[in-house]
Amino acid sequence: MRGDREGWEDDLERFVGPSEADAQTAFDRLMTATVPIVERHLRTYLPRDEDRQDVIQEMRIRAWRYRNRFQNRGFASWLSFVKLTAERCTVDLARGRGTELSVDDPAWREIPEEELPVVADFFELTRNRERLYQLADDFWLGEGGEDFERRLLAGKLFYLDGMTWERIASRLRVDRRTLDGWLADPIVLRHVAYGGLYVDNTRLSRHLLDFTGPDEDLNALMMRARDRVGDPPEGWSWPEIYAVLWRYRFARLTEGIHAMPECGLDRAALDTLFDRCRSRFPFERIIVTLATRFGPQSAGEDALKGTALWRRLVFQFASADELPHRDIHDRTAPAAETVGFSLTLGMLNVWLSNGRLAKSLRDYYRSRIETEGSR
Amino acid sequence: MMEDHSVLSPAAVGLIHAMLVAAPAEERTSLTLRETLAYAAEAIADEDRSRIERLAARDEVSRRTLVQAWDAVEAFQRQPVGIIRRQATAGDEAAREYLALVTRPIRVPDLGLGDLLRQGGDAARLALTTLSAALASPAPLRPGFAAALRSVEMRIRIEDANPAFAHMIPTRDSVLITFEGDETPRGERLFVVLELGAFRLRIGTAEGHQGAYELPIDPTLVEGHDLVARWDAWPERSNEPVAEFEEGSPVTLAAWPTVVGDELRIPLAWRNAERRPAACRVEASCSFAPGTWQPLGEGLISEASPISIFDYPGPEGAFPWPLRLKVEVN
Repeated sequence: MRGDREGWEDDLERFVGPSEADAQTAFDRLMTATVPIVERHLRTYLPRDEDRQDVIQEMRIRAWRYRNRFQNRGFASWLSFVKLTAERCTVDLARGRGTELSVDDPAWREIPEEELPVVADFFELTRNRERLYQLADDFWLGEGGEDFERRLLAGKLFYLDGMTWERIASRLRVDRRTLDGWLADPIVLRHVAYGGLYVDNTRLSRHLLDFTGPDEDLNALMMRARDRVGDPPEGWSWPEIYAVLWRYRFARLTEGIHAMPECGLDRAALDTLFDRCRSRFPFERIIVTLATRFGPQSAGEDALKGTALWRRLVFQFASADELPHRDIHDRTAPAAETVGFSLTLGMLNVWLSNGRLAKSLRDYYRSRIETEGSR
Repeated sequence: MMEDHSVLSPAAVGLIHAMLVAAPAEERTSLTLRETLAYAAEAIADEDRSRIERLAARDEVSRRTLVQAWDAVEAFQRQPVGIIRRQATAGDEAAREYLALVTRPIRVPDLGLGDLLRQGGDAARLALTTLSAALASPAPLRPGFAAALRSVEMRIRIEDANPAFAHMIPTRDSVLITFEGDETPRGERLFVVLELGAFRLRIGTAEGHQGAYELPIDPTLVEGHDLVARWDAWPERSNEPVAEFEEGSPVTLAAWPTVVGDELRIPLAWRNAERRPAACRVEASCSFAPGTWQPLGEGLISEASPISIFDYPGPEGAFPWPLRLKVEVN
């Protein structure tokens, strides 16, 4: 990661430098790293892919043409420059069609100078998803230290899979006393709880449809549902399966599914279908199982009721599964309620909309870098 | 654990959110063969095999399927499109989907294809297929922006057309085509004019479709219904200014000049807005033939741009190139 950062800094220097050929090469590299982010940012304003591609093309042209206006204050200032350029192109696109987009939206303003380091850090942080989620685990669930994987495995085998302690001790070659210590470790318990409660989009859709085949077959199932080929699995119609997969595997909103020409269900039928799916969500059952298996130990109760677990889940559902707030709420609040933790939409809004979760993770990331650097 | 309850500005939050969820859209819907091929093609264009690994890691499409798609796209890219089409005709589903994938929608401008199609009826069914540069050349066009364009190969396919086609449109003999997503090394949008009667392809960038380059379409290159033109003529000096100025000129060319009727419009911008003089007189000349310079006329630039030079002696649509501008500050 460090190497990448230096690479971008070099590219920025070349981009503002005197050699046009170098600037162009650097521009290409910078754009390659930036366009996916801008494209995602534009989805809020431009739902049609064609519009976003038009804006991105225009943004590239303008960013190159007006490159002398760019002031190099690091990679975040580049991101801010590109973002603003893209937003202006969006406004112009709308204007060209006779509509006006609000430019008073605070999200459209320039990123304040003092926040540029946060943005730059986040760019570094999000380059590597595995590392990002590992950091999130460490931050919210706790750093396990050396040999943690083994301890966590013991926790998962015991609490999630219901394996007896004798078998675990035998397989992991630990004595009973050590194993007891591992199983009562609050960090292990939090990680186990998260591992149980985080059900990603694909797993959730598999659960809802009682689908046991490989994921490849899930793709084929979707195609068969779309084309209404053969008989649907028992208990479902093809339009229902198609809608469930779009709704829960690909996190498409009900309105979007309803608007699809091949949907085949009216709005009321979709609402009924998704109510039925929500009633089959596994989260409450999982947390009840966890609470039972954790038993009366206070560390177990703390792991489930503590805000850290829920923040971690919310972060994951938002960043990895791209769920809107209401969907995150549906997948967390009822389970949280079961153990006495009240997770409201207002809380989710505060966590996600104001960047608190993101910023606190970034601060942790910085402290980790500093700590590692001082060693 | 650390907690920090300070908040960020909505502008920063929006961008950070975009970073966190900036997975390509294809990753979420790569289900059909075409989408899988498209994904593989993008990954090849980006020279990024890890995209396939990441997608497979998310269990959305099997690694095997993607690797097969990758191999198939690489193989297609090495083949002439005619062969791929024959494969598709013979029932090769991957070839068919690949052809569908590389057939980009053509944006129909006010002047051009739409009118022609309406006028021409069935006999003038014109299907124009571009093999996108991102797929035809080793380097990507849309993200690549630059040098790759020099080796862009464009194929224009006319289906069910016959030699009398051009004569069937008495009022117009050319089609203006814009290739969505294509741009010149300078980042300008690319325009292509196919002159049907003359078997000539003109490629330009300015609004109004002035062509900087004219490429004859060699009838010997016609393969079946394919008209093939290889465009490798984009000049090496493509990043140099498109007009010559005398040294110390206070203005620069803001965009490519355009010719409308007998009016030549030259968009100019001040090099330094703060030191902008009250007015300048601009004399323009052009070299229509090597070694000779023909005065085009003069115009006054004050507040507004572009300047207009009337009685332009060149033919309408002919881009004045090379263009020499002498600027005199009043």
